[in-house]
Amino acid sequence: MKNSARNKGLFALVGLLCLLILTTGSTILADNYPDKEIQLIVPFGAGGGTDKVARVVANALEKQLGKPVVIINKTSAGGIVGSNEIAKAKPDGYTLGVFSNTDVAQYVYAVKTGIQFNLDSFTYLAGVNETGNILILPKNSKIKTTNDFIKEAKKKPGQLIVALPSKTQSLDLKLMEKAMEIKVTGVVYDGGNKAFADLLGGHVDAAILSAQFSVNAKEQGLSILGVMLDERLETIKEISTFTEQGYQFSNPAARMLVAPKGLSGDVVRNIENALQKAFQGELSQALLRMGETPKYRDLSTLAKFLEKDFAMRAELMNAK
Amino acid sequence: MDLMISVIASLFSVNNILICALGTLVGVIFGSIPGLNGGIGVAVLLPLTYTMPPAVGLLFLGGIYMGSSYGGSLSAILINCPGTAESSCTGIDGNAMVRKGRTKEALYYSVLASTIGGIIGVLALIFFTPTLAKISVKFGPSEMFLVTTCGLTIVGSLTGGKSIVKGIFATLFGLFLAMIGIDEASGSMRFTFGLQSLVGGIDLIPAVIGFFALAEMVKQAADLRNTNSFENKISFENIKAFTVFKKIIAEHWVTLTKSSILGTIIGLIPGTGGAISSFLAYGEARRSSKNITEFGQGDPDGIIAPESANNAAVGGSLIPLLSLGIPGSSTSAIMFGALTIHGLIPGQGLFTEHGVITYTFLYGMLFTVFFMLLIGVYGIPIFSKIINIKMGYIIPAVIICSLIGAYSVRNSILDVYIAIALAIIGVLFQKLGIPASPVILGLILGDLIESNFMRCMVIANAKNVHVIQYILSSPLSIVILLLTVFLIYTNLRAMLKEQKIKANIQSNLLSKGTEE
Repeated sequence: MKNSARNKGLFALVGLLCLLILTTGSTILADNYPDKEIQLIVPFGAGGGTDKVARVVANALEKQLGKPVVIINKTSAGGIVGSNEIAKAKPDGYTLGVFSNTDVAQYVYAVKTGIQFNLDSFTYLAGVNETGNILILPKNSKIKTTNDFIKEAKKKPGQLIVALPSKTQSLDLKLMEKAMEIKVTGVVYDGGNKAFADLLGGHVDAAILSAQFSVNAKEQGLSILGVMLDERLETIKEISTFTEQGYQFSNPAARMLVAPKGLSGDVVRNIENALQKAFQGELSQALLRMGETPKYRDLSTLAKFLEKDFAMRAELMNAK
Repeated sequence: MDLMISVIASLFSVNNILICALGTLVGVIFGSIPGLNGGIGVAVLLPLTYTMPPAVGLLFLGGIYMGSSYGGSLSAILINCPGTAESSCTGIDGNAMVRKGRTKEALYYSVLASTIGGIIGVLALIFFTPTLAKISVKFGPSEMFLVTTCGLTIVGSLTGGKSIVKGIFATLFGLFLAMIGIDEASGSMRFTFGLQSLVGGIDLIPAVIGFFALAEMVKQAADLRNTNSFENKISFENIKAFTVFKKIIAEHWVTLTKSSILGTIIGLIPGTGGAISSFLAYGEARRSSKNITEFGQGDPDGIIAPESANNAAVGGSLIPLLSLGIPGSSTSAIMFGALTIHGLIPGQGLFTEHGVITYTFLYGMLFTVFFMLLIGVYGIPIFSKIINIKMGYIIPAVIICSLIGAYSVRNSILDVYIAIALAIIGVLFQKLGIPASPVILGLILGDLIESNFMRCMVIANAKNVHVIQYILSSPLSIVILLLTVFLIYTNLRAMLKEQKIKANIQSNLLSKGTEE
């Protein structure tokens, strides 16, 4: 009788001990970051632009940090649900995220509903690329140059249909309309792939897609009218910017590795070092191969870039 | 010639064959566990393929995709819980056959139909990619709107001969579930009742888990005390795979061919996939069935149609992915990631510069079908023993797996709560005689119908035409519309015929009764 009671007691004690060790283990070993797998939340669907970049970055980080970096796609609500998750996660460095400056600005300045964060809720760890949007035409389009496009748009104001991968690109559309003094109609799709599909099928007159799609566009023989930046992108050196063509507008985007705010200095340094080494290694090549222009901005460089960038967006979106 | 030799060499390498078989096995297992599916399998195991040679990695993932499209039927048939959304319809007739003591036959129908469907899809992928890819992009907003609305018309077939009103209610309920969440175009919240957790809306998989798996397990648990429950009466028939195969060729080849082709085509259309293919194939098989009263009670067509369609959709969904870079389904979208990591860009280049890798993958998909056949046929004696396991053990296992599966979709505990909430509603529906599959159909199609209609409205508005005029402006749209009208008409006719036959049977029974 007494034995079984004692055994039960022992069991309970051992169990409790194990539980204690398991739950506090991570804090005890905090200075050995990372000591377990890292989750990388992607607020967009698998196979999309952000997802593909995230996977390449995750792969590179994993090699440097020595622990698995696992992609978790948390889709819905145009990326808001996933972004909420990143903002609410524990700032222990084991939950990171990927999104662009354009996305987060769109949520905070334009959408405003359903978001559980503001711009200060994140630690902007690094910028991994620079990109902008390009204007692509369907295959048998009558339009051959930007001037043709503008003429067509002026002939039938509001009747040219431009596909957009998400609501975020309506900013590019508005900037373009203003600079070219035209009026077109944007149609929002559920991701770049779906917008590209309808462009291929000739259901729309043009599409605004991220520069990553230049590879697919060239593969399918579609013409690209220009890129919406002030300077040409390395991967598409032959595509002139709209600024060069005389239409002054630019919407530079950078995909960023982010984390919830409040990350400890040690963790940040660890990640920064890993990324820096990755960029010196294969990460640049991997990004170039998929049509992305690699550009590493570390924590402080990114912070300076974002200060100006977010201010510009605040003005643009509130002046809508 | 050189290309062929290299392809054959890499196809038949031991490494390739082993990994291909492994992928298919993993796929079957993932598919058969309610709560897991091919998409999850591909997403989770994708990183494993980074270090493999590209073709082998792609075949590993392709094997998971193909295997899971079949695997779901195992749990659908054996315990009436679809393992994946693609097998939602398979359990209707599949489990009915089990209750009539025809377990092995049902399982053989499923694996053979999956095999042939899979082969047809892959053959389309190998030989007709250029042509078919062009067709897939012809489906713009108006065509997509019409196709998905057309898909709703099959609800008539899903009501199981019960009240059509209840079927329509179920579909509308599914459409309502699809609307919950934030509407991206306008930024407004719909039906979220102020709950942050509903901002993301209701995902398909927790809904399938709640409505089918969990609700079914609750029902079985309630039945446990019932000593008349069927598990005491199960006997195993002695039937050979080849016999079933001969039966398929002799009696069901029409359904098989139609469903496989339907599956390939639906798989082609970007944004659809195995689930929609299986629903449409099931509906069509039922509508055109000669023994309409048998349907739902254990008609082999009810297994053959959805299973061949969902496996054909695997090949179909890879067609636009490889040639245009447009994934035909959510699972193939994840495989897009695999292509990118290896630096493979979809398009002509894939078939010329990287010809060896691509053709090894294409022909290798036939291997996955072959392995699926082996696993299925040789596994059936083992699988069928599951019937003998006491329900009392199966129920908790299924519930745990389902809840884990619900969590794993978006790594969100909210999805688990949603699954449980929908399970409660599902049990309620069962008591009220409201069928569950139209709910899932409504949920799957709801988002597609609405977003495409919105696009049609925006475009029509921009062009200053009436939205109906815009929708009917392409020949393909008119074809789909005529098809929809035709299907509604024949569905109604089939339903009336079924009611009449049932009424006749009843009146015959009554008159016999009065005679005695």
